[in-house]
Amino acid sequence: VGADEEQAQNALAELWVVHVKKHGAGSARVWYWRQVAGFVLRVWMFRRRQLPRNADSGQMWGSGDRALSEGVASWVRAGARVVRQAVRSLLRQPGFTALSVLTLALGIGSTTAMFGVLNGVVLRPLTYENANELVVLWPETVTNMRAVEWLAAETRSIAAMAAMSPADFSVTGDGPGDRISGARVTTNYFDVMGVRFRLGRSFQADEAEPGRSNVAILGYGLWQSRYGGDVTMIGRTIRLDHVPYTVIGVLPRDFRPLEEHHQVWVPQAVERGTTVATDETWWMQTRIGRLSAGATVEGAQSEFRATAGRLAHTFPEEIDAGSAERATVLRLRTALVGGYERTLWVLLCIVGLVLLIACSNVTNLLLARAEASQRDLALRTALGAGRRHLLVQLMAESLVLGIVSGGIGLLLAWGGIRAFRIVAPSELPRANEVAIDGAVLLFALAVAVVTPFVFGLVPALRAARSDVRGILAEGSRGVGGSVRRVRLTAGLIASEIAMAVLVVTAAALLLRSLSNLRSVDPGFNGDRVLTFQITVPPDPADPGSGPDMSTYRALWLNLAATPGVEAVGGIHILPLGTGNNRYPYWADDHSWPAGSPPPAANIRVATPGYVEAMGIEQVEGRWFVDADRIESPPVVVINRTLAARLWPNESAVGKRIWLLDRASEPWQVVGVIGDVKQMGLARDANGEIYLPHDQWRWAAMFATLRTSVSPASLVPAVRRTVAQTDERITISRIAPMPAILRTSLATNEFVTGLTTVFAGLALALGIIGVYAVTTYAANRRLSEFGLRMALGSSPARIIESALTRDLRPVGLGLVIGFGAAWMTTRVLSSMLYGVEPFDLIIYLAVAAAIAAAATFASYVPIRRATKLDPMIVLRPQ
Amino acid sequence: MLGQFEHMVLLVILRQGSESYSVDIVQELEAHTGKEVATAAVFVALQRLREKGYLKDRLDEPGPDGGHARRYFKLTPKALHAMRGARANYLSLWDGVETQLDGRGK
Repeated sequence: VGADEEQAQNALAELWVVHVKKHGAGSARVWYWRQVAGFVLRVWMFRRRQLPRNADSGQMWGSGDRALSEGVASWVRAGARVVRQAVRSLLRQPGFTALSVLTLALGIGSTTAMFGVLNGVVLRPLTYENANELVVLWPETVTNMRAVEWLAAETRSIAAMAAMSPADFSVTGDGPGDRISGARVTTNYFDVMGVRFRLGRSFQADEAEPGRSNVAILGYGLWQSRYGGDVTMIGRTIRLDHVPYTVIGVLPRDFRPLEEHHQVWVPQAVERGTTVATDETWWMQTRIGRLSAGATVEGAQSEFRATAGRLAHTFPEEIDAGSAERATVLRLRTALVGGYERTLWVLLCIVGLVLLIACSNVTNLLLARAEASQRDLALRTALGAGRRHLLVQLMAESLVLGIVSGGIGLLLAWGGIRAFRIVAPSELPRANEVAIDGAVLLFALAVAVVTPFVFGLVPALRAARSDVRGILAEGSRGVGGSVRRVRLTAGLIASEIAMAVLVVTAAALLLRSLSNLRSVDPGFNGDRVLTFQITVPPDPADPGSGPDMSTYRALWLNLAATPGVEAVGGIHILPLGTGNNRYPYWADDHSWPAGSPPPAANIRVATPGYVEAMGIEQVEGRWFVDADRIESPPVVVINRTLAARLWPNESAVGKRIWLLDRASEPWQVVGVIGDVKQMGLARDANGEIYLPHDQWRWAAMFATLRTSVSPASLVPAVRRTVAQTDERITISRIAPMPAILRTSLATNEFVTGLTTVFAGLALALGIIGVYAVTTYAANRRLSEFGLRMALGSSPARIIESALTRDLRPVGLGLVIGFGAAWMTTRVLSSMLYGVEPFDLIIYLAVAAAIAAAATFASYVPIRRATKLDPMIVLRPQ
Repeated sequence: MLGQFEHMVLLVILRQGSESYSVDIVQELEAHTGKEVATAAVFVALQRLREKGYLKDRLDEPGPDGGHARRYFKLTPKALHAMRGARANYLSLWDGVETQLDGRGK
């Protein structure tokens, strides 16, 4: 009877009201089921009579394309009808629909946004030609240019090999001086990367020869920002570090440098006739290769190790054989984003749990709704709707819910991704590539289509299975709902709570870890310190001896005289920054066996004012003074860790240290200062050796200004002072120290923040789930409560027994959740600082919090139910 | 030929004026027969009458109070013709035999 099904239901509903008025509810109920039985019988007879006729017509017309297209058309019509009916049915219960859509949209939206991040950072192929063939070779070491050539010639599985060394340049002329990042590269660098130039050409092999190497390639960004996208740039001269370079090429807009901030590339010159032993270019940091056709990463690695081993054997003085044995070959993608891949997958799993919790909630809502509409369902079955038809109808409703929620979720994801691009930590690679693209859309669609089966299939199967007889047998509503439904609900609650426990525990561990990190003493007081990088041009009288130190001295004096500045210092690498210099050293009272490499310590070049400006503790002896000049005896200050390692039971002051070369002049230790976190708050301090700037002349220094006012407010005054001192000084990377501290925690904060948001969602959804189920159960048990109260039971007793019953699945969920947390939180261990993945206190706190929230969520509806007058409660039954 | 129940349904629709709604048909039938009517029987009859071309139907707009959309039925000229024929048949068959009912079967 199809479309009349609804008419029949409505008619029965209207007549039901009339009957109740005329004859009372009891008689009406009997009448109702008699009517339903009538439908079962008559519709069955009606169908039986109609069937053969349809079969005939099918045979008469049933061949050829026409039947097929009619078949398809009728399927489409049927589908449209099913969807229309689903929409109508959902609109009839706006409360249920809105709650379900909201819950699912939150789940789908956060999952899609997280997938968008993973997709943009990790999954989407790199934008280089055949990026899958690109590998990073031996990232653990630095080599010189000749070693790269040697390795390239000897490794068959690598078709081409290039090398890159990051380098900062002062760019002057054509406007104010600026400090930009770039790289010195082998001339084949862009050929290996597979770049098509926007303008001009790549480097030629002979441009690595000294005297021909003053050519530069500009990144698209620099070309636009500094040169206004001038198409006549090719052949023009620019000044890098005050040396003229000819621009020969401009990179395309979509070229993404290996290090995102790189804007200019120059060839690394290499002296003619040098060998691995005599080439001085020992700073080639990154080696990039392209796999030969058919080569695998694993095969390339084993061959490369053998090649590197032969290189170390041939040049034992220069190449460390141990490092060669362990040399790795990584796919470029892994090298770039490998450190974040795991974190992002973990976050996606966490948000996936949130989605599952949302699904459980909707499943519970659907179960409750199915129970409430059992009569309708029974009638539909009676009307011959048939199980399959009913199943299709209910799944259609779920699918409509899923698709609508998916659409809203996609909007939420769009907003989430926009927010992500604002808050993403700057060191997260490819963060600017995160966007909603085809893959993300497909993912959202897949989630929207798959989740309805997750949340809707069980309720639909149950509803379709329920038969008229079963419902007739259950008759008037019993006290507790069907046993199976109660069990199902309890299972859902237990799993929701378990998943919430997992997510909340992860968030709690990360929060604890972050607070540990925040309370780490960095070893300095940067509250009111302004930092910026300055580069002073070389002394025109002696260009080979480094920067013009008289300019530097004048600059420090002028900065100190700037109003608002209390102390001025300088260091060549800021704490918590990126980059490091490590040199091998020898020390008094220590000898290392011949053949084994000497230990290495971090090297920092600093000025006399540095320790005062940064508020670093002076442990022993003195810090540098202005008299520590190039002509005076070489002195160093070491940190507490190195002093304790080298001279644990005596004073370090007066001891001698040799740097780089045992035969060189020794440096005398004049003082010991406190440890400073150079490589990040989570990393323990290394041994450190500070050298006075005048004795180790470094061109680019970071100024550290202790201020009496807000550091940022001094920026204009500082710029003026620098320009007045010498207009050739470039100033860049201006940042207050507190901002640098925050940046160093940005990734931790980002991961922790996201997990906390997800945990909040998980907890809220889980508790809403408990509340909804308890409310439903309490309403069903109103008569039981009423009866017990009428029999003299106190509300407290009733609440107690109801709570025990309702909280049993919560307790089960807690147990399962902690079991799962215990097994899985170790994946977080690399993200944790100062807290173990299994931290009993945190587990107990999470358990207490979730148990308290769940108890409250159960107590409220039960309490409300016991407040009702028992007589009123009992009457309608 | 019209079945008896079908005939009754058509008569109820005729009595109710231009259009009829299923619930009204059921209630009117019950009022006239004094017996419970199987709603299913009415629906099956309406369906069959529609297939035979005796009824036209239309779906009303849902009410402003959020109620469902009602389906209204209306007699076609073919139905009126058939009823006229059936009435004539019944009347001619009844002619002169009504009095016989009073004595027998009591």
